[in-house]
Amino acid sequence: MPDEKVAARLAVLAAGVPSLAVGADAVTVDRGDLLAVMRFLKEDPECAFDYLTDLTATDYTDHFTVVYHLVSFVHGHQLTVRCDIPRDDPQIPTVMDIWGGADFQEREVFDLLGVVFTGRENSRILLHEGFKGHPLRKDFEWVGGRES
Amino acid sequence: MSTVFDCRDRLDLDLKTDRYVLNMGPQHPATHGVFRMILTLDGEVVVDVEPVVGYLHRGVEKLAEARTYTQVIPYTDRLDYLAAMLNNLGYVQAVEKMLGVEVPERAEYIRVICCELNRIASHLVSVGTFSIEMGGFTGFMYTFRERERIMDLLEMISGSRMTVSFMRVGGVADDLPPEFFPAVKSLLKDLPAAFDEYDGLITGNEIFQARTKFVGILDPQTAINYSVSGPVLRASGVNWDLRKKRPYSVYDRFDFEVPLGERGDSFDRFRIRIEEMRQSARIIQQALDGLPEGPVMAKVPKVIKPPAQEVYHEIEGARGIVGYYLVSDGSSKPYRMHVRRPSFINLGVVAELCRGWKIADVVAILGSIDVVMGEVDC
Repeated sequence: MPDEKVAARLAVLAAGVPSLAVGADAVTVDRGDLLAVMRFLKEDPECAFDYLTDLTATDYTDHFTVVYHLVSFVHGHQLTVRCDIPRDDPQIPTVMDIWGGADFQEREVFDLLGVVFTGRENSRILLHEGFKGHPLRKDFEWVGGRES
Repeated sequence: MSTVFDCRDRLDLDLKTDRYVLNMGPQHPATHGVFRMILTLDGEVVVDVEPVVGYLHRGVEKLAEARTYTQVIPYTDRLDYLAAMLNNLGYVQAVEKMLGVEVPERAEYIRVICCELNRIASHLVSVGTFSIEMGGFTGFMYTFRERERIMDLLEMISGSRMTVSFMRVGGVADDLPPEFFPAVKSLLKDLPAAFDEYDGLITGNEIFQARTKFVGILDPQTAINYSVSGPVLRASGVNWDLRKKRPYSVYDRFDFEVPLGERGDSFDRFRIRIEEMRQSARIIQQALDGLPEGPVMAKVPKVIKPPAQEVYHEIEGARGIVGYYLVSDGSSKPYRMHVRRPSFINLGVVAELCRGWKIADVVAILGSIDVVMGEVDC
């Protein structure tokens, strides 16, 4: 999916960031390198991903995957960035300083999946403060669930 | 004439003023549903806004995990309930992307007709309620007159005014009924005059302009940074309409323009919706003229089981970019569904916009952003 120019720039970036893997449909990166990669993707003039369209996460029962869908309004191309984080230590740095639009979306991911974004205040947004658990986790028990 | 009292003058006098907190909502006519804003005020000037959402949270994303792919469609109606067709379309196209289904031409045209009708209906609500919020009840009555006719059309098509559930994976639920064509023809004939009427009643009104012009200016950089989309983004002069930039369905076959704002103030955000309605009416006319014959459903298995994968698909909804992120595990139910709701993300910029304005301007700013709480809370 990454278009040619972006792919070329990603190859340059990957030389310095060993955890960066460019796949067929997405880029994966370790959380330690996330901020550096994201900053590059936004600031590099060939990439110029100035718009974070969607930020979400999925519980794969053995790990969480946080997914970023980026768009460049300058060039019109898109990129998906994935970052796997362990389930017993669900922390990932915030990208709020890079894209302001991440604010609400990170709060939603924290609220519903319990992924903690470091470097910012994590507070619930959709559920009330007293709610126990994170409903989009696969081990969240509820009446009418997938298996019943 | 007495001088207008300005809070900023009072600050210059070095008077001791206390900041205080005012709760606005969750039950407030200007919040378009149950939505609360905690305003920190200095006199009448807004220092900070904390939006509180979630009163309408139903857990649609979790519910979807326990439903088959077809059973999810009615839930999408209830996100942005003013533009259900567009939510339907985003979802079924995401599933079609996973299955690799080719949708018949006639179905694509019917989809476009339904979506644009619904976009007009949705913008009419937005324009009408904004008129009420600015103190002009009459504008509301006029926009709802046309909206009711569109609601009747949607009822003819789907049997329901708002929760249409009309789209299917692979096409649409049914062909357009014969009585639809004369009704839509007469509507399209009347719409241009109706839009002119709104312009005369609302847009041209001096009080309305005084309340909205230069109020809550959103510059393009901030808009992009905050992931704002839809009419709000275009009012700031950013030319980004997915129907043009990344044409889906058959939108590349129609001739229409993308209206843009100049200042990015509340007035532009309002005006752009009327201009968009004019363009939508043009698209409907072209789609009706070019409506091909043929089936309205592709051959899709009764039980939809997409191979394990993830897709993300975006369309241009009435309030901005509606995106569906779906993860399948090979079973008949989605493993994970996430919806990018434009109202939710657009709400993120409200605090930024309201700072420094007065309480009455908060109503203008929120009304011009036009959020639907069903979609915000998901």
